[in-house]
Amino acid sequence: MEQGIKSFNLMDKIKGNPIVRKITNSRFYKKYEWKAIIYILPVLIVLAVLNFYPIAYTIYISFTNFNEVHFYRFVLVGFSNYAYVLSTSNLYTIIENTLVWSFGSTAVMVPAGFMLALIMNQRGLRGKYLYRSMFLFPWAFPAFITILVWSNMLAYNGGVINEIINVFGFRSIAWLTSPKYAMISLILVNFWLSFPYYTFVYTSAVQSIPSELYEAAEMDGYGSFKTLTGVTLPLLRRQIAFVTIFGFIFTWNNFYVPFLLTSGGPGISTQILITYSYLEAFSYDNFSLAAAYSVFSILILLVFVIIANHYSKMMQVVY
Amino acid sequence: MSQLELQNVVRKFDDKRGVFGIDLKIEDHEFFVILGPSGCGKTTTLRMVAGLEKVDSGKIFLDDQEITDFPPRMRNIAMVFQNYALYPFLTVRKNIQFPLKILKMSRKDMDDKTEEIAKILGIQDLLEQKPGEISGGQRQRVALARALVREPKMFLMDEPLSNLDAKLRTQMRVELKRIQKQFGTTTLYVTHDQVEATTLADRAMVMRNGRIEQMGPPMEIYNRPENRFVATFVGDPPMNMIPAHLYESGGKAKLKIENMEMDIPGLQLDAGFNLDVIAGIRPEDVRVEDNGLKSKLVVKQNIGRAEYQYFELNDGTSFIRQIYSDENLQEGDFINIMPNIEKLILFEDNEGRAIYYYGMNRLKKVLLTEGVRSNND
Repeated sequence: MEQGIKSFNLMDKIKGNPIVRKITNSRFYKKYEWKAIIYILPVLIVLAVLNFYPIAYTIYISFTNFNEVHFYRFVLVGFSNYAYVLSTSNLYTIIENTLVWSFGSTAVMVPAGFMLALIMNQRGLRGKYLYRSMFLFPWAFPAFITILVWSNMLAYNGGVINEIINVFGFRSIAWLTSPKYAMISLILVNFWLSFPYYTFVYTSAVQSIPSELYEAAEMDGYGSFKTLTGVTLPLLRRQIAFVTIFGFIFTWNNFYVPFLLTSGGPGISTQILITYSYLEAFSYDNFSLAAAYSVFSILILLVFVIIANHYSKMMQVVY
Repeated sequence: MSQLELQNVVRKFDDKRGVFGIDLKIEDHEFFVILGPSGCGKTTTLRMVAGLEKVDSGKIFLDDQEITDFPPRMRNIAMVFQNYALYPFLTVRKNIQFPLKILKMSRKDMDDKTEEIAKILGIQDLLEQKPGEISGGQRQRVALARALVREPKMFLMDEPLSNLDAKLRTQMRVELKRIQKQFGTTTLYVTHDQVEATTLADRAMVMRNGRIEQMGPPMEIYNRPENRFVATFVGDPPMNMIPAHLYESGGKAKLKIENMEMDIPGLQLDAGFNLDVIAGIRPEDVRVEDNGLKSKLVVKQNIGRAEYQYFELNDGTSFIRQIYSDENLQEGDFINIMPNIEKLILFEDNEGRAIYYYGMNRLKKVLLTEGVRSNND
């Protein structure tokens, strides 16, 4: 009977195997926490296949002449793609656009989300849950439909926004077709699409503040504004820093709003690095050039992230 | 300094929860404790005084000025919270100065004041540390310092010691009392811990279900509880409650518990009087006597300075006795126990109100209960 149980215990059998035992007794095996690594492994594999390899390949083809002409036989061409990109004036316009787009969007959607979170978490506000669900709508709605609706509303002829402007006696504005206003329209639409997300992120942050911290401030004579600057903001500075950096990175790489709303137009006035490298790759079949643009994008973003991370780390204090 | 007065203050959350009419007057320099189980409305009362909770009806006066609808900052009252409510991003110094910052005080004045208070509380070495880096007891001192530094008219304390471990709590209790005496600030203190109430309070108030059960000096509450709730809530281990029978026989008042009878000297009862009562006996007021109640020792608990003995009477009523000497009794042993007549309290059976304390020659007049009213007074 005992024998029978033993033979069915697979784990014991594996552990008892002389080869397995030799491995498990080795110093190399004992040095690491192998169980923990095994759990991480699937994610690492997926990341390697879907992320690390494409990034490496992108960097590789940015040094080749891989394009429509040399589709099957491309060779390394050194830095000539980068030299070309740097020599065109496009790059500087596009970088400028990307900066305006990212900073502009972050500057409106992150503070707006924060303020809405504060407003929705007011003490004594009834129906918080109802408002919260309502605020989620713009975000939960399929973005391409939202963008379509906005593009109709922003249309020069017959667009609702221009109709309203006309009522007040102003002339119609070419929201999407003039270089002056196209980027503003983009940021506006992106703001509409993304503020619920930031509201939600901040809602949980604001709710995590114990109420007696507010009550203590109230008893000490702090008004709403003083409480905001003296209690809420300092308490949430880590979260605010994190969400701002995260929002900035996300917006930098946010493809679908500019692509669907203006397709980078008019001209390249709303072209950002990510949409432009897409254009180079799939409209002009200039893959190596597109790769070079991507690498530029990553490098610039990396600089920002390192700076931001540095400063936000400085803001972190031991609690 | 200041007096606080509450006149029929009501705050209703629903039919059961809230505060239903509190009348209260706290004198200048007084340390007043509100004691009660959780959900009794003690914290709500405190928050109404602070201005953090709305008052449905009734009035609150501070120094003869009505403050019922004043916002918290207009009241000049400082509060110490259960979780200290320290700002984790500020140093201890900045935390203490937090109430002063709003007063537009000069930096030097603030620092002088902070250091003075810190010295009194023994936290002068911690001023540059963050709350996260200091211990619970030290945090408690910082919270106290923040309340003291404002020189408020009054202190409110909401279970300030409940987050400390037992040893520290005892220590801080002494400290609190000392500081309150030193500054002489009128203090309203809320707790569910009856030891805190008896040790700290000049006067205390026991609350239940949003109403006042009893108010007075803590030892008076301990020795002369007005009803069964107060009697069992104040005191640890709680007062024993044993069903008994009070009757008149041959011109004497007698009390019968199971098959034991005892005289109650001095008490005059009408001829033929008899009433079911509850005898309240403190665990420390029990002695062994041959003609006492036969009881079986079920469990012994030694807490070092004393021993708790849990007995069971014939009818299953449990009974706790506290002794300070070693008696060498074994669990399962039978002994005869006898309550000390000088500490006996009788409660009427229905509502549980006290009708007799030792030394009274008549039963206390208690309304509502038919049996008592018809038989005496």
